[in-house]
Amino acid sequence: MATETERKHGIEALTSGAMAEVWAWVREKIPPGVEVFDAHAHIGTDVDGRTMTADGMRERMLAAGVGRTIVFPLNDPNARDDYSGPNDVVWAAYESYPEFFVPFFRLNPHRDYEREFERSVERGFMGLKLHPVSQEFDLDDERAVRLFGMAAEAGLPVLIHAGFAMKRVVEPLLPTIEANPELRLILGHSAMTEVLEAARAFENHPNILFETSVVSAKDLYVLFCSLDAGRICYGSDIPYGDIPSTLHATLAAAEAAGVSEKQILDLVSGNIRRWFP
Amino acid sequence: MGHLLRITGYLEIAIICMWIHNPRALATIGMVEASLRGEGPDGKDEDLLKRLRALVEEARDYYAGDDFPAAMARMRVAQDLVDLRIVAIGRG
Repeated sequence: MATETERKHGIEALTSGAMAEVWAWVREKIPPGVEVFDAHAHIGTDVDGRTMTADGMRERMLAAGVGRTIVFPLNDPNARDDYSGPNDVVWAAYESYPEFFVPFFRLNPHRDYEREFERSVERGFMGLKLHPVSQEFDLDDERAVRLFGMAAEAGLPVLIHAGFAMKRVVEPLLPTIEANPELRLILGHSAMTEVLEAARAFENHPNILFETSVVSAKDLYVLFCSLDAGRICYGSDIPYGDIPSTLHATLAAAEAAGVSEKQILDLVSGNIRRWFP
Repeated sequence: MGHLLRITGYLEIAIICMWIHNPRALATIGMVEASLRGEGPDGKDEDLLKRLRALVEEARDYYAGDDFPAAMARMRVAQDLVDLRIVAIGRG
């Protein structure tokens, strides 16, 4: 859980001591003027006690040179049935700092979601976040499949958790992707357990981006060796991840795989910015 | 390379224990520190091992001090450095 020590030391502790050399290397790889775009972070409260405020998120972005961040709720204990409360928190963050945040709303496919979906779209949310592990559903659950269709119809990108504790990603997702080629999908954590299979299966689906937060460099190396870097975008997963170590993993793996400097800049900024200019 | 494979194995154990808040997480960080003691078999990775020792030592202190993000960042970076070194050796 987020402790007082964490809050106090927050940013400095991530870039000092043995991390100073790591952070200096990261900064050297990103030329001045390039605004990093973080495609995965949370604002709100989680059942595990972790929290992140809009101000805390903005402080971390400013300290690390991150220009914009996609933000959405955590697995909030106050989600009730429709996630409206946590979605309100994210919307308030966006209203406070519209130039910093790209707000996504979150839903639970097991609950009645039509009203909150409609309210969020009308409000101006820019995408939907779904978490199959926290909300305990499969990606081919008919209620989730229906949500994917609704998002495609509304032109909303969907970011799905496809990382820790995921047992099935490609096989249950493929029919939905083939049925909705216009659906823009961000695979959170790059479908890390099935990264090679996902790279192969989704190679010819240009509306699918692989997002790198808290993915190990060895998994990212395999991804960069298997897929055009133009299909990959950077993420931090704050408050579970952090900007320095996730940028290091992404940049170091890309460099090891021979990704060009231009492509590296696109994956930390341009690739996701195409969807949110 | 075998030496580095040992180290990344212990790092994996410790990172998972930290991630799931296992009560033995601090002990598993100690196992990583143990795996890093002494010179490597061929002496070629001493610069890397020196960086790893510093990262893991700080990670242990931050974890003991209840600063999870600062600890986890260092453990992730340590494992990434080892793994990419193994990849580089494998590529020749």
